[in-house]
Amino acid sequence: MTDYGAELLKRQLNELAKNPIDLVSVGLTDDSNIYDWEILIMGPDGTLYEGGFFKARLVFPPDFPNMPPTMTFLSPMWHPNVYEDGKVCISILHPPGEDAMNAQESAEERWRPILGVEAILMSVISMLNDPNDESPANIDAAKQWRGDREAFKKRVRQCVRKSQEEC
Amino acid sequence: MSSDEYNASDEEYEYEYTDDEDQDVTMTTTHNDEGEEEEDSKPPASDEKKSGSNKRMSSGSARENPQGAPVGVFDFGDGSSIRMLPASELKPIMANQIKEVVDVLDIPPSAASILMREHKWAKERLFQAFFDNPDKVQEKCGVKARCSGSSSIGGADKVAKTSGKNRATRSSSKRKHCEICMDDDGFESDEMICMPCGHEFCELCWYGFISNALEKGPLCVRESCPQAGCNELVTEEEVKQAAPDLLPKFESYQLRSFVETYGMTRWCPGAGCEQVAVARGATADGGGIAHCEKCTTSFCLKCGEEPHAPVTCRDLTLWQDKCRNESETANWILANTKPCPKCHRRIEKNQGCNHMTCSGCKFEFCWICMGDWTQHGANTGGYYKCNKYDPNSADDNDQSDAARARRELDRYLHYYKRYHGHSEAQEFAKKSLKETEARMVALQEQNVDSTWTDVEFLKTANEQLVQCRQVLKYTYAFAFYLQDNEKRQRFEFHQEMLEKFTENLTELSEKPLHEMNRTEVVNQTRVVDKFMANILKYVDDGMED
Repeated sequence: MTDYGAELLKRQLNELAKNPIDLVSVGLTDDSNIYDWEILIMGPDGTLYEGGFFKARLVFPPDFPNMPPTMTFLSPMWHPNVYEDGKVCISILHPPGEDAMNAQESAEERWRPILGVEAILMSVISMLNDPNDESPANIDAAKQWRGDREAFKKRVRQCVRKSQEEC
Repeated sequence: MSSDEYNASDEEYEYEYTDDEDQDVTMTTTHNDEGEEEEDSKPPASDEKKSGSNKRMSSGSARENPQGAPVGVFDFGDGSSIRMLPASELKPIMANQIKEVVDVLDIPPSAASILMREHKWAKERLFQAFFDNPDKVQEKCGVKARCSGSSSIGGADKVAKTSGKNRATRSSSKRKHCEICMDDDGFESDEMICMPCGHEFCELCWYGFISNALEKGPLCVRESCPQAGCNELVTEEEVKQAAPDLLPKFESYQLRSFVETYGMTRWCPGAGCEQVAVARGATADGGGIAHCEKCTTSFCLKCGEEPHAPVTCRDLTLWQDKCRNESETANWILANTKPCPKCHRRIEKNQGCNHMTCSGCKFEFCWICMGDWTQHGANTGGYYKCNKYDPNSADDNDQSDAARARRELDRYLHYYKRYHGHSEAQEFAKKSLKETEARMVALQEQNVDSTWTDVEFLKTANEQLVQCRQVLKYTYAFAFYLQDNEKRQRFEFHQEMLEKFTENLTELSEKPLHEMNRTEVVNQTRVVDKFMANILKYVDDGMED
């Protein structure tokens, strides 16, 4: 099964090289490992993240595409749906099946083998556009997003500047 | 087993299980099922089939519900309430349930199985919901497409035709495209497997998808279509096509789910045991104790715990939750060893009796209250007084929250300590039950002309002890939740008697073999059994005098 997942990832990587998604560039962290991708996401215009160059890592499990990859921001990130260690928490990246502990998320919103890297990246960009504070990963960020938008903006701008410096 | 009243019911069960008439009913039902299963592959609802099932209804059992569905499957016909079956024997029962739904609703068996599961195998509830709003039920349970087509291929065609654009290429001779692996070469039609919802993927992707789903365990029976946003469920039909080698595993998960959601069945909790307890009558909620002959486990049918009379399932859960939450505190206070009250040497209790003698200073004391054992004599009027919680011993006058909390903790610890003590003693008794046979052999050799029956009293006594410890253990959980003071006092009287005689019997049966007094042990066993029956009856009778 390993070859099968690798084959699929190669195909998706080529496809994204040929027809890139707006605001995103993809590559491998280490050319010998197709399961570990490095992503650069540009903050979408008109959002708080505008102007930022956010680096992230997308790590695929051996049983991809039946299980989803994990995505972690390497650049500093302040967002309700991103843990403080950079791990992205959105429903599409959650393993398929019901979760008794999480009523907000139906099985249909979760990972399905039909989905690919493109779908994930689109979801991440839409997450930057529109944070979901219903089930936050970073509670402090979510609180600030809800209660003190100015402070939230300031903190995000810091992240944007840092990401620019690091680039 | 030694007791009379307590075991009378055991014998009753055993007798009833082997009842000939009972066997007949089961055999007939099973046989019919097999006969009809072969017909299952044909489209349902032919006239011939209907008459077939009618025949079975009338021959299977005299009892029929108004809708004409047989209730005979679990009618043991002999008044017994619980029986144990190997899991494999439940397959025909499950198949039979599914078949009835197939007949009534005219849907494929794979969909019927899901609908029943989602309605906890309550046929009437399903029928009612289904006739009320079939679309809603099918949609909710993820079988909508499956129910609207007569077979998976037909269903696929239907959707392909109606859903237009994406599927336009399907009907052409062009090679098909798998959206999971996006293989550039595409696939022939026979290399693709299609869900009733019209979503099709290549064989290789399907295999990976299904084996991955099965690795997730029991939840695999709720796996939905690989397509994002599609809630049509994957069934044995797809597994059969895509991964026939994994079908037995999938079916075993289906059966497992049946046993777990069907109201009248419960897995034997014995480690690795594949037996299932099946209740007669309404539901397993009716309670009762199941005895598994295979692994000799006894358990409560309602909650699956070991038999826990006199405490109710509900209070038992509360109690266990409480014990779990407070176990840190309790464990800290109840370390495995206790210091001798006199010389403070740490003492480990490695036998069941509460009458301790310190090996250092020879001081005799009670393990429960750590008081002088001589104080436990009848002459002081305080024989085994340590089973009673005396709130007056705590400081009652202090009404501060802290003091109240401490009193409540004291009250809990009082019961927990004793619950825990008997629980440990029960384990000791179980352990020594295993060693009893060796003791019996030794005892027989000691007296030249004694027979095996002459030494069997040792085993009987030991089994009695295991039971008594179990009941005693739960009397403390029961008493913890007993609000009524007067009732509690009377209950504690019964408890005290049982406890006292259980300690006596423990001590007698643990004596060195050359001091063993058969008559004494036999008598004590009988007496203890009487007290055990008394306390259980007292609770059963609603604790009225």
